[in-house]
Amino acid sequence: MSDTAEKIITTTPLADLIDARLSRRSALKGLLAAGAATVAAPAAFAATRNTDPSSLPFEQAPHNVEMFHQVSPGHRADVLLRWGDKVAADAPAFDPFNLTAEAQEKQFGYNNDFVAFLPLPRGSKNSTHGLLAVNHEYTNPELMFTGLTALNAASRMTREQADVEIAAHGHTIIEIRKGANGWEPVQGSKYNRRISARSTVMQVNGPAAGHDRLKTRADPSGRRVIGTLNNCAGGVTPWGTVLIAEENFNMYFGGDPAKTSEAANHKRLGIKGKSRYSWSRFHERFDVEKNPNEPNRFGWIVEIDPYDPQSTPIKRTTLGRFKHEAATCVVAPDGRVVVYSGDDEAFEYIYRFVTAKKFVPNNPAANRDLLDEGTLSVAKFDDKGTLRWLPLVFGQGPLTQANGFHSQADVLIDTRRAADLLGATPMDRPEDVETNPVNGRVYVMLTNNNTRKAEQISKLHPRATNLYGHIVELLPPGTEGSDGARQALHTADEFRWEVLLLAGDPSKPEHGAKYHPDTQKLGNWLAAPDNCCFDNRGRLWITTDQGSSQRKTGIPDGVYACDVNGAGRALTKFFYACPKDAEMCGPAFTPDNKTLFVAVQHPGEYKDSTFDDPSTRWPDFDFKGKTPPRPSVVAITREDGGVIGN
Amino acid sequence: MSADKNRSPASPKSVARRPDGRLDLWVCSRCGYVYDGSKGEPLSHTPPETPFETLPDSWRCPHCTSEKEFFFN
Repeated sequence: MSDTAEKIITTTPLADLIDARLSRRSALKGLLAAGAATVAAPAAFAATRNTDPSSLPFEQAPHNVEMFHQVSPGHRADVLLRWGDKVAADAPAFDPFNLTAEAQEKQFGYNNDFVAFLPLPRGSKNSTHGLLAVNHEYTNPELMFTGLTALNAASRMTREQADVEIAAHGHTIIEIRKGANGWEPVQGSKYNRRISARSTVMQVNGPAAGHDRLKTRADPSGRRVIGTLNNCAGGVTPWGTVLIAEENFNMYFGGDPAKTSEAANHKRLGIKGKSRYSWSRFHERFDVEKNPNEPNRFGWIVEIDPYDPQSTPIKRTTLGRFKHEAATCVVAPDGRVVVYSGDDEAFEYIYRFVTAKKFVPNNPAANRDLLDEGTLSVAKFDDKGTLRWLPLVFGQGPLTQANGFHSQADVLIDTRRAADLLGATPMDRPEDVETNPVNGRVYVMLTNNNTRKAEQISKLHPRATNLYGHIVELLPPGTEGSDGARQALHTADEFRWEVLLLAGDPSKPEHGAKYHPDTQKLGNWLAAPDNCCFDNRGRLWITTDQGSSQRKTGIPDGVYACDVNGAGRALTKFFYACPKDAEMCGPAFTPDNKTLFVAVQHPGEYKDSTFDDPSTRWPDFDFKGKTPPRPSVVAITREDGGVIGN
Repeated sequence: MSADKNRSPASPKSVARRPDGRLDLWVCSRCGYVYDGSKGEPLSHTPPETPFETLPDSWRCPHCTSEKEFFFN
């Protein structure tokens, strides 16, 4: 036994890894440490080796990185929407050699991330006709314009190029229909709409709306913001609107924050005086010395009604200000709506919002401002398998004037600082948080955290230098069994929690990975869980983002699926591979689960990969015309038209 | 040999500084994280006044795990 394997066994005894509440039978079929693979398997366990315990029968996609994408045999992966495709009816044809901000405002934006499918008609479960709502998170100027590199773009770009970038950020709503030839956008639809950081006027609602700290010279009301930034993932509300997250908004701002009245606030959100973007050179509103309050107008969750193309997007400040990854809604048994959101940064927190009033079914208008009243809380875990939700309410506990909070607006603008004072539990980059429609449990993707030290490990975070990430399962009261979705008490003060899996390579003891023990033989290992969704049978579909580490591990980013209930729990199978240097975002099923939409983000992003010489020209592979790589939404279906995962 | 043998050698003259003399800011071109040498990085227990140039080759962006070569100043 290697020194490393022995260390894992002695520092994390098997008994501790198995939750005492699990039955012995499920413990044997459940999670065993990589190091413990050297211990002789009990006879009951050996019996499963000849059968596949997973309920997912698909043949896996090849688990290697290629310039092209790959999908499980028997499926097809069709590119549906590409950067530059027409959205507005009068959009010009995409010309990658002559980009303009005006054209980009009418075309599909860059770096698609969140994907939601909303059926038409509204409120139906139609799975062949609907709206696709897609976020455009950020831009790669070195892949959009000739002559730039990732390292020099910010200092060399022109104003015109910066304006293209600003126009390429935001959101797209586009009508799509599945016909004999597969999914296609509906050109000229009244629903087709681009929302951009450059021009879309947004309203601010909730306690921070109109506050002095949100007022700027351009907007003395503090209620009207131009655009949205760094829209990562999001969610769909029970009344059919979409919530889109503002994540790394901090990286757009230049100017020295220490010279402003918001110095401590800006520091807490990572604004330090230098931006990855050139925008502050050309537009004063991105210079914090000239506009110290502008960053306070970002970092929120924005609600958009895709069924009403004239509607104004609304920033819902009740949901707090931080680097939201997503915003997942679920209706609690008493009718109140719960929204979960992770703050995507090392050692940040998981939040939960509960509405004050109840959801009214079949009446979207009645729920229009439901999110404007309610209570935001943050999670504090103990190492015995319990977590508590701590409310962030002005006047309660340490959130008082003595600590610099003068109103609920202050608590929300400084959500992170308020959560610090409450003693929330620092997590390893909480990204997506999704609820299982069958067992009612809540799954948290913890992507990675290479800065966690040995003295900071716990049962919740069992590995230092967490390079590969893990998935934690939260259990609201009522979800102890396998089908508790209807009674899951998402509004309770206290939940239980368990670890579902520790990502990494189970064949390497130093990774400390932990999956279903048959994963090496029947599944595939993954790294950096980022987003996820559930199919109708409650199986978890995970999308990954290793970043530049993809080149080191040699495994692709893409879609991995596993059971969370039953004998196949945590046996991850590989379904779809992104092309080289891309990450996988989305994912979203149609209601009938016959289509899975995913978003391929930043194909070709690597340090020496450029517009002129990219590491891949996916999806066009137009070597003659030299079309650069294009972030795109892909629709995956089965060749036989059946339900994916059946 | 210096007590910290993981440091890359770099003379004080060769590190980049801002006009006011403070150590320069280095930005991760992938995720936008900013390393401020004058403050160090509490997350990785890097003390203040640690120039980016002297961080070990094993150092990673605390946010996205990218290596030093992805950073610019």
